[in-house]
Amino acid sequence: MSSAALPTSALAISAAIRSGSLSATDVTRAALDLVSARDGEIGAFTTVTAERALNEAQAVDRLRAEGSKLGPLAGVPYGVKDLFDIKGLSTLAGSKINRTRPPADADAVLIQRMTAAGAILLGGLNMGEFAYDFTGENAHHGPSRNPLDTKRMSGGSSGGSAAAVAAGFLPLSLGSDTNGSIRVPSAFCGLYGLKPTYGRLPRTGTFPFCDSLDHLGPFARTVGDLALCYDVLQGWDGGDVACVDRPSEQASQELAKGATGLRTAVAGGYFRRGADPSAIAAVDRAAHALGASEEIDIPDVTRARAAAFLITNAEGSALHLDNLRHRAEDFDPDTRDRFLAGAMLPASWYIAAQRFRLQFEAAMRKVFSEFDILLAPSTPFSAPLLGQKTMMLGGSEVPLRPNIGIFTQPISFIGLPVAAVPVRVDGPMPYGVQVIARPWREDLCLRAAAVIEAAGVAHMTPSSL
Amino acid sequence: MTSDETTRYLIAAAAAVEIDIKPEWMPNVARFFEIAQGMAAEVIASGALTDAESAAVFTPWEKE
Repeated sequence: MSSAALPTSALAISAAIRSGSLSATDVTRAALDLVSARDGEIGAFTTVTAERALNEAQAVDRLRAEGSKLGPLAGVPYGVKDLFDIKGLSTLAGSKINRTRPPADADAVLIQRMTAAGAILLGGLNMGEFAYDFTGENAHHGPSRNPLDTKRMSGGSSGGSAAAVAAGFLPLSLGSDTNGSIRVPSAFCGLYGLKPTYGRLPRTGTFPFCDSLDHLGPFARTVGDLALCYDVLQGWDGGDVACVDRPSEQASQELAKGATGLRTAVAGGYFRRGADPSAIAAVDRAAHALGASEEIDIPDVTRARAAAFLITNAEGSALHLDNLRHRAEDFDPDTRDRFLAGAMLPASWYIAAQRFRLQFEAAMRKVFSEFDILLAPSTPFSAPLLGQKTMMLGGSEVPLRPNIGIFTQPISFIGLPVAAVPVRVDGPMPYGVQVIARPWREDLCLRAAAVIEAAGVAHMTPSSL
Repeated sequence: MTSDETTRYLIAAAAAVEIDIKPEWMPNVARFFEIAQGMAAEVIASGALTDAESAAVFTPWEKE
């Protein structure tokens, strides 16, 4: 079956499979054919699990033939960032070092939940080494390229997860976000992404980066698909000590409620400085769609970003200390040198950064006593060229890598939920807007994202599948 | 710290944590360390951190 004849959203694919107008096997074969034909130019996949995918698809088709109830993602193809355990494969986390790890003996918990919902795993997706990256470049596997312009970065570290969805290979993918690794590639590739509240989704069976800040979440081309996937992923698991035992709070049913009653503000000050005019314009377009006119200045954002930097650097380096001692030459040089520096940070710096989290949380709690939604840019600029090292910002040339995450890091620092929304401005490349809510209110983020999508200001990614 | 002081600190600290930093890596490692140093100065600047909780609270088990 030609992929041109297939529906493009997860919702439409699962509906077609439930109704019998499509088989899961046909959808899976079409997706595998697309990956085989086009991923050479994108670099989204590191592993394609074709045999497993076809087995899963046939199982879905058998269930339907038997008249059994199908899950909400029946027959929907998806992929996972290469730090999710896939049973039978070594979890690479974008590294050469992990090639010697034994194969995983079970799927990550979130993959188990996708399987239970009927989704079809197509494989592991490219990422920045050990998730310490905002670019999507990788010294070992090559870069994941931006499907909107293959000369440009996909963003990272979940670069392959974004590239696979933006290229139209898949309607959904899973990634991780420690400092912006879902929100940055969503912005660069023109996708919706969700970084849920810290502790909402269990990280059991994934390769960590920084326990204090690691989150998992989905990518999609529509808000409806994003919410559906998020709803499937929810639920406590005791394998992750940070996972909070809360009931599943389904968001899909909230999307149609609109902007009425949502108190929305635009983050000013820090979030309006150091961004190019189009990044600011994207936020203003989203604010207009939500009827928001107030701008608020959040205190201490620079410190929050600095504290997130230190916690990430110290915890990530501690995690890799043994490999830094014995296999330092096997790291990507860009990653290695940052980990080496982080291995020698004084403990007092790390402790000060952790202490500041509660102070910043108190300040943000005050903001969210007055507002339900806060809007901020995801990145200061649109997708840079692959290999680019510096960027013009505010009339000055600044190093690229450290500046990509300046708007995402302060938000994930205190674990707030964020929907990343792609917005059209001038020019071919989209910009990202962070739609931020108080902890545990992903439903509000997604509801506001749906309003922006419906207003017609969101970037529409061309899709193949 | 001056650049020389940073390098001397890194050489000593690397020995303490049993890491070998090759000479050709040192300029980049020192550059990253100095960025982190600037971040730490930013975090510590207010001096109002001492009575805040430092990290996750440890709770001993209640029953055998």
